[in-house]
Amino acid sequence: MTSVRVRKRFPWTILCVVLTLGLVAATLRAQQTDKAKEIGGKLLCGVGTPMCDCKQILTQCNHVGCRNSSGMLKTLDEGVANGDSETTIVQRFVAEFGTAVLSEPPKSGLNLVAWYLPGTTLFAGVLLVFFVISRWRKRAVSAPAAPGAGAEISPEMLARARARASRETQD
Amino acid sequence: MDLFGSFALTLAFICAVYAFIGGVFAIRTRHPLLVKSTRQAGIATCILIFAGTFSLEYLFFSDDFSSAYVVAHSNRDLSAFYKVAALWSGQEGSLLFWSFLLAIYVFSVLMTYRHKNGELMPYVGVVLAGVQIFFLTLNNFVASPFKSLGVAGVGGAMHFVARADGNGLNPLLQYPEMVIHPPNLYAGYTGFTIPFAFALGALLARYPGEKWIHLTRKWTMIAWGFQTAGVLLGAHWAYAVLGWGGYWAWDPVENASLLPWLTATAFLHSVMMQEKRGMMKVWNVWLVFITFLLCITGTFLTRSGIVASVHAFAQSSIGNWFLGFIGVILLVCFVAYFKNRDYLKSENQLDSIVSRESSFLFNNLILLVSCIAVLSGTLFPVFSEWLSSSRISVGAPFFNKVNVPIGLLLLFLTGVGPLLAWRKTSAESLRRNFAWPLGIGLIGGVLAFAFGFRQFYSLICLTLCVFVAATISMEFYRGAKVIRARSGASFLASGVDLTMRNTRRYGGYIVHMGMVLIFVGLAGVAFNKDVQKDMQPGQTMQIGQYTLRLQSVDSKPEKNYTAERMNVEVLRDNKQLMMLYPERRKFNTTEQSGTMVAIYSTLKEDLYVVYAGISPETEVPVIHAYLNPLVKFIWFGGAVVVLGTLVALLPNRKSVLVLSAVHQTVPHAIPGQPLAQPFRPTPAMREGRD
Repeated sequence: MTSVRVRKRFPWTILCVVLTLGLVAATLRAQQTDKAKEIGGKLLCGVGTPMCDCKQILTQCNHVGCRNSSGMLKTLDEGVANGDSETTIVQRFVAEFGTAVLSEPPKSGLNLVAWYLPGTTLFAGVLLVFFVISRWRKRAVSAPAAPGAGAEISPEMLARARARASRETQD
Repeated sequence: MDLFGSFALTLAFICAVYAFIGGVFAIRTRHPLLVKSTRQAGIATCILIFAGTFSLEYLFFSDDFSSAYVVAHSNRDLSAFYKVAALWSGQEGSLLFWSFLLAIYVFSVLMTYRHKNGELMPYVGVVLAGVQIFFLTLNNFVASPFKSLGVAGVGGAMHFVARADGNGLNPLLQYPEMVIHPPNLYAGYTGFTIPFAFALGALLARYPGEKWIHLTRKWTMIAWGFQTAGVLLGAHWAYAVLGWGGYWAWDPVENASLLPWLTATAFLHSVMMQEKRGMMKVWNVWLVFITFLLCITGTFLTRSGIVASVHAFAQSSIGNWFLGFIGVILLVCFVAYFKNRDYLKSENQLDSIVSRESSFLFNNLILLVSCIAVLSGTLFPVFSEWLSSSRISVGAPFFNKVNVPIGLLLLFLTGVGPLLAWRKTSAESLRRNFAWPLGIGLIGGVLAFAFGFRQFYSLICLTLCVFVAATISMEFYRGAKVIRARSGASFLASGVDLTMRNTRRYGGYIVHMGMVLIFVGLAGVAFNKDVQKDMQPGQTMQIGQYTLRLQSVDSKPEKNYTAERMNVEVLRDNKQLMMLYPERRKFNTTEQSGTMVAIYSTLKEDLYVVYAGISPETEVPVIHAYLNPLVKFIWFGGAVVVLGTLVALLPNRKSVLVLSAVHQTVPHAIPGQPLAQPFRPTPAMREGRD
C-alpha cells in the first residue's frame, strides 16, 4: 500500500523538484544577467582597437558581430557564471585592455581631479557668493546717508524713484 | 562653377580684410565716409559668401563630378533633399556653411543698425569682420571646398578630370533630422558671434551697459533658440538612427554643443540683473566672451581629432588654426577688459541672500559648474595622457553621476526663482508663495513613489518637476485672474493676454515648463528595459507588456540603398497591436550599412525595436528591443522650449485694458500735491514681483 502511494507520489515529487530547480536556475540566471549588465555598464567596448572603436558601454554596443563586444561579453558572462567577484572580472579586463576600458576614471591618483573638480567648484562658488553678498551688505550698512536724506521728497525725486522701481520690478 | 565659387570666396576675404582694417581706421579718424565704406565692405563680404555657398550647392545639384568635394559627398541617385545636406557633410563644406550662416547674421546686423548706434557699430563691424576673416582664411587657404579632381599629365601639367559618379553621402547623414539638425546647431554656434561682437565692441567703445545688452538680447535669444533646437534634434537623431536605445551618450561632440548652451543660458538669466539693477556687468561680459570661446572650442574639438568621437572629422592640422584663433580671442578679450574694466562698475549691490538676484546668482553658478564638469570630463582623457601617459576613458556613467545632482539643483532653482522678489523677500512672502507649490510638489512625489518610482534621483526629479510646474502654473493663474477680474474675458484669453503683455517674462516661463517636461522624460531612464534575441521567423520575444513576433525578413531595393527589413508583429494581451518594420540599409555606393529603428511611441513609453543584424554564430536575425518610458516628454518639452523662445522674442502688447481700469481707481499724481487717496499696492507689487 505504502509502496503504491510512494509510486503514485513519485512523479509529482520529481515534477516539484524539477520546477524548484528550474525556478532557482532561472532566478540565478536572472541574477547573473543583472550582475553581468551591472559590470558591463562599467566597461567600454572596443577601446583602442581598430576592429570596433565605438567606445559604447559594453552592454550597449549595438554592433552585432563586433569582434570586441562578442568576445568581451563572453568573458564577462563566464566570469559571472564562475562566481568571480566584480573586482576580479573588472581587473581581468583592465589587465587585457588597460585602464581605458573602464567607462569612468578610477577613483585614485590624478583621476581624483576629475571626480572632485565639479564639487569643489560648486562649494567654492557658493562660498564666494555668500562672501560677496555679505561684503556688499556690510558696505551698504556702513555707507553714509545720501545727501538730502531726511529732507522733503521732491516730485522729481519721486518720479525718478517710481521709474526706477518700475524698471527694477518688471519681469 | 567651382572657379566662380572660389573667386567669390577670395573676393569675400579681401572685402573682410578691408572691413577690418578700414574699420580700425574709421574708429580712429571717425571719418563718416570711411565708416560707411567699411560697413558696405562688410555687406559685400556677406553677399560674396552667399554666392560662394550657392555655387557649391549648384555643383551638387548639377552632379558636377569634377569637383573633389562633390565626388566625396554625393552621387547621382542622392535625392535633392540630401543634396542640400551634402553641403555640410564634410569638413570643407561645413566650414563654408559656418561662414554662410555667420554671413546671414552679419548681414542682418549691418542692415538693421545701418542708421542707428553710430558710435558702437564701427566697433561691432570690426569684431565681426575679424571673425569672418578667420573663417574665410580657412575657406580659401586651408580647407577649400572648390578643389577640382586633377591628375598630373605629361610634363607635370595638370588635367582636370571628371568621375562618372560620386562616392555618395555618409549613410548616417541620410535621415531627415540630419538635414535640419546641423543647420540649427550651426545657427546657434554662429549666432553667439553677434552678442560677442556687441559685448567686445561696447567694452572697447565704453558704450553704456544697458544699451548693448538691450541690443543683443534678441540676438542672444535667437542663437540660444537655435542651439536648443539643434541639441534636441541631435538627440532625436541619435535616438532614431544610432540604434543603441538612448539619445545622449555624452560623446565629446555632443558635449561640445552643450557647453555654449550652458553659459548662454546663464547669460540670459544674469543679463536681467544688469538691465534691472545695473549689476553683474563684468560677469555678463565674460559670460558672452566664454560662450563664444566655447563655440570655437567645440569646433576645435570636432575638427582637430584631439578627442575620439563618432561625430569627429578625421584628424587634421586644422585644429591648430582653431587653437590659434582661441588664443587670439582670449588675448583680445583680456586686453579689452583690463583697459576698460573701470567702465564695468556695478551700479547697485545685492541687498539680501533671499532675493531674485541671488537666485540668478546661484543659477549662474550651477550652470557654470555644470559647464566645468562637462568640459573637464571631455578633456580629462587628453590631459591625463599628457600628464601620466596612461589612457583614461570618461564615459556616460561619469557624466551622469556628476551632472544629475547639478541638474536637479538647477531644476529646484527654476521653481524657486519666480517666487522670490527683487531686492529682498520677507519671511511672510516666502511662506505665502512656497506653501502651495511645495505642498503640490510633495503630493506629486508621494504619488510617484506609490506608482513605483523608487529610484532616488528619478523620484526627486519627478517631485521637483511637479513643484516647478505648480510654481509656473500659479504665476499664470495669478496674473490671468487679475486680468480676468478687470476685463471680464475668459480665463484662457486672459492668460494669452497676460503672456502677450510681458512676452519676455511669460515666454521665459513657457521655456521653463518645457524644461520641466524634458526632466520628466529624463526621469524615465531609471526604468529602461532591453532584451536582445536571435530570432527565426515565427518566434516570439517578450518585453514588458508587449510580445514581438518576427513574421519575416525581406529585402527591398531602393534608389540609393537596399533595405533588409524585419516584419515584426506587436501584440499586447495576445491581441495584435500593430506592425513594426525595423530595417538595415546597405548603401549602394559606399557599401556601408545603417540602422532604421522602428518605434511605437506613446506618452507612457516607447517600444523601440532594432534589427541588429545577422548573428555570426547562429546566422539568424538578431532583434534588440527596448522599452523606454516617458521619452516622448523630451521631444514634446523641446517643442515647448522653442515655442517659449519664440514667444519671448515677440514685442510686448500694450496693456490698454489695465490702464483704463487703473485710471478709474488711481487718481493722477499732481506735482507738489499729495494723492487724494493713498495708492495701495497688491501683495505681489509690494514684494516687487510685478
